[in-house]
Amino acid sequence: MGTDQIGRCILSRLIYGGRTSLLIVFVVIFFSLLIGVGVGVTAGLCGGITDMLLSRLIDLAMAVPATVFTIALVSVLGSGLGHTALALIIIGWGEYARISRSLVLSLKNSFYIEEAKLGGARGFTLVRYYILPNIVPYLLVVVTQDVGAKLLTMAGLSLLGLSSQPPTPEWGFMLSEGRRYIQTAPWLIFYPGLIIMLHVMIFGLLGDCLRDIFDPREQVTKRRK
Amino acid sequence: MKSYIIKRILYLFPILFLISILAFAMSYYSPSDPVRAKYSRMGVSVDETVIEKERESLGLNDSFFVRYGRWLKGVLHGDLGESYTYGSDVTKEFARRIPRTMQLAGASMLLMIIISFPFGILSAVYQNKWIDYLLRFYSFVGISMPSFWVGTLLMYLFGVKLKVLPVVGSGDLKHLILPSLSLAFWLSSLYIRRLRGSMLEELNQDYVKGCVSRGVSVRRAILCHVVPNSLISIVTMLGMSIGNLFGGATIVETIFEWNGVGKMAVDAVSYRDYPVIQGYVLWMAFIYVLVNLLVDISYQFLDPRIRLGEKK
Repeated sequence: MGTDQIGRCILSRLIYGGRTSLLIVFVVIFFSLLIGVGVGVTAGLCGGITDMLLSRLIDLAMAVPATVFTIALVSVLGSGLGHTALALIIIGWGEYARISRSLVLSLKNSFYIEEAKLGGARGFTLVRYYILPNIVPYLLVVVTQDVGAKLLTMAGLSLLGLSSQPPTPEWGFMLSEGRRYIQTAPWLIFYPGLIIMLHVMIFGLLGDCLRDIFDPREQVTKRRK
Repeated sequence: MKSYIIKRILYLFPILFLISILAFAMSYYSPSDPVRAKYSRMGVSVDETVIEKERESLGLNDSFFVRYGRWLKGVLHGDLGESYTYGSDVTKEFARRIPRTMQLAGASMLLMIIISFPFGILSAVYQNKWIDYLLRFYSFVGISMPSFWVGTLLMYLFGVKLKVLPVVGSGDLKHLILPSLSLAFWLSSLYIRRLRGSMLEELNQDYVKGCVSRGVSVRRAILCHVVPNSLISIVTMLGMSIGNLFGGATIVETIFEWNGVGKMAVDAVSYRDYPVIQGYVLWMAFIYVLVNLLVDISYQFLDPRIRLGEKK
């Protein structure tokens, strides 16, 4: 794949960059999921005023565009991978919370939850043994498909110079560095972009496969065929 | 209907209020100081006591709420303060750049509609034919390609290799083509997929069969009944993707050196130019909230089920 402007091997930078880029995406998704599922399940189970307040909070988190919020936060804290990740977590949990809340609401009135309650399952036990096992497959699909979106957002932000700082190899940043040499060395922008695209595709396809496996509706229609 | 619109508008105020507090807190808790920034821009070093006096006279030592109140009053009067880097009025700077960003966003929206509507409809009507597979492949690739990468590739192809279009800069139509194309590519693949999905859902409804059995031609049934119904879900999506569009526009603007609001904000981050960033946050929040309001209201007009449901 050649070398970059100061003679560093692009292939090895792409491989090392993958560690940074993918790790940060997983960290962002992990924490967003933790907060999101916590809030969503609480809102769905408790109902009433708790649900109303938490739902407003979810709306607020979802109302802010990621780029804008990151620009605002980074301008106060200074640019860096950690700060961008923090910004994405602060607004990223909303989506998961919304989904897990609606999943819980659809489960809440089913018979086996009623029976579990009659059997004495309360609070954490109820969530841990009866609710989570039922919503995790759906969330897994959502998460897998979200990896691609987050990867694109992160790459875009580091392209703006808001995220990783040199000399850390990171895909978005490599692209942004390569831009300066577009006239003479187009491969500097070609390969990082290609690798981002391939990863987004892979996670998209993985998400589709998981959906086909976990979504019983699809299976039924397929069997009928 | 009327009360719904009023309720929705009233609902905006707490959100805008919260965002304005956030935007203000950002500069309040920031480590940089406007007075020092002003002097360092002028290139003079001054005594601490002079700075302290000026801070006092500008009211920078007052409490959070006093300063917030003063700032909010200014904002409501259209005064966003003075930029640290440009030294000019932020409002004027925005007034100069907002049309640029709107141009870019509008052009990409238009391109998106031109590309995705016919293709989305074709893809659904010819489901599982070669044209559908081709379009599905297009949208799958389009969603996975980062728009800034598309932008730089287009830049290389048309600007560097073929030399038919200018590489960077802003201004006339020629400069507009590449940035809006790179945004539209991504947007259109999103919408082709969505339109295809909602068209297929509608095509399976009984009313389509009813239409056809009444003797309405299939073409007419699709164009006059299926398409309008599937557009309803597209309108909702339009509201949601406005935030992404402007966010993406920020990146594309930076790549193509398009002198819009987004590029200004990104530049402002590196100079810690808070009045500009505050203005950007407020502007984006305003646009986002406004578009979502319009979408919700238009939903009422487009879908009679919602309207009638409320009357009951």
